[in-house]
Amino acid sequence: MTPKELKQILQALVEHGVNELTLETPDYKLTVRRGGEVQVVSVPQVQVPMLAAPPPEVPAPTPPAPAAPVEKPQVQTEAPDDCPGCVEVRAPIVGTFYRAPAPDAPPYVKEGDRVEKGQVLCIIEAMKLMNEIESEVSGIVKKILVENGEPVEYGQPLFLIQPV
Amino acid sequence: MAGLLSLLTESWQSGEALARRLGVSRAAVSKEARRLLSEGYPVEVSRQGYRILPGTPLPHLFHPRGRLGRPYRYLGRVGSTQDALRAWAEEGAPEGALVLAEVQERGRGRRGRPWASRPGASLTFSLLLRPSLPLPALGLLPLLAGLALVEAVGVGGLKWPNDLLAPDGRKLAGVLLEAKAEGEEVAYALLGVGVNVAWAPEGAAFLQEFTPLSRREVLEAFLLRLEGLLPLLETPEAFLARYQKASYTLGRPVRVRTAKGVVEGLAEAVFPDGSLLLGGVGVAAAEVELLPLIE
Repeated sequence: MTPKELKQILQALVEHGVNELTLETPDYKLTVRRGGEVQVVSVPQVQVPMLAAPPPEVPAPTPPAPAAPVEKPQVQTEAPDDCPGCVEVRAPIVGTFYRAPAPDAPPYVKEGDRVEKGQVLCIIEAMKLMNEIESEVSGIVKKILVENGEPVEYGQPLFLIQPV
Repeated sequence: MAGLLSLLTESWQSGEALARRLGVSRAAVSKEARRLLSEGYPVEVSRQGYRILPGTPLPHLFHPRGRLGRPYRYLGRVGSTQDALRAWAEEGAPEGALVLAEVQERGRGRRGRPWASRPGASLTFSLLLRPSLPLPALGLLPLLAGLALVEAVGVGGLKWPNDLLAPDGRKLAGVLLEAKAEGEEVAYALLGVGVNVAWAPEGAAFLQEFTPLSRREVLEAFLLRLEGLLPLLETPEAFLARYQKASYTLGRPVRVRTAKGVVEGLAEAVFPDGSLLLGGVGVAAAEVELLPLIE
């Protein structure tokens, strides 16, 4: 199932006021409950590295806004323990992590930097597609969790940002 | 003086006629032509008068046949077409917006590597895409851009993911895609293409060694082909079958440099997410080097 198909299913649930849906195919079983969380059960190890990555957490749309568009999967979440109140920026895609636009260029951000919402934090490259990852909050970069040039997995935490 | 560029065609026009149409002196036309030349615009001057180098995609001579390629900005000298298009995208330019420049002062490829070009002989442009698919589903887009290129020119083949190589392995064209991600949504993708049409830097090849296509013809064919291929992003198997036919990499021994080191092996397959299967390992970001076939 592609992310787009998942989106369409979620959209249909909202539009038709369905509260729970279980979809079973030879490859996977998917249960979606509105107002609760999405559970992907027994994702097979298909021959697609992208899909073999951890399944996206898709928050179900809230009931009071039936026409609202499906929320995008969360790539920035509350961080645990060592940095209370911090927001975790996660990799939205599998690829190679770069801190600067070019090998001889200064990094986009350093630890301790103040960043604005929308500011580019890093690049993740996959198939020569350079993806600029931006911050969805304004705050201080408390921690950079990945080394320049390292491969990253889908959903892997990249930065901890303390919102201000 | 504005407007000389918009009056030039591929046929010679006398300085006198141009001066009359612009309401200026012949000396002013001559001065403006020199200024345009210094800006990188391929204006030709002879005893017959003035014309634009044939095959130049001047806005009034360029007619995209599909929806990609408009609105269109044709520029002389820029830093890079990617940066010019990015600024335009931030201002809200729609999908299909195209920036083409004759001179790039900081033309670049992957990881900031320089891309050399020559006014009038190279084709360097950036096309704005606003994909509705989420970021993880866009892994095939770079490959698709490469396929559009090879199908548009009908010469050579692709080195994974999307370098266009001549039959003898020299590089004809390169593609660079830069996307802005907002979470998993893609705000926009900047598709940068550099094609050596009538000139190539040392060691590389140019198209006119193989086919008489002009820069404008390459551009128009590429845009139309890309538009036709884009729906295949949603049917990876169908796309990959077609990509396979244009590949110079699959079935070949290759060496790839990834962030984790060098891997050598047979390029076995391309996965539906665009990554390359190489000796049992999936590779998503790497420099590929084709190795000689074992005799």
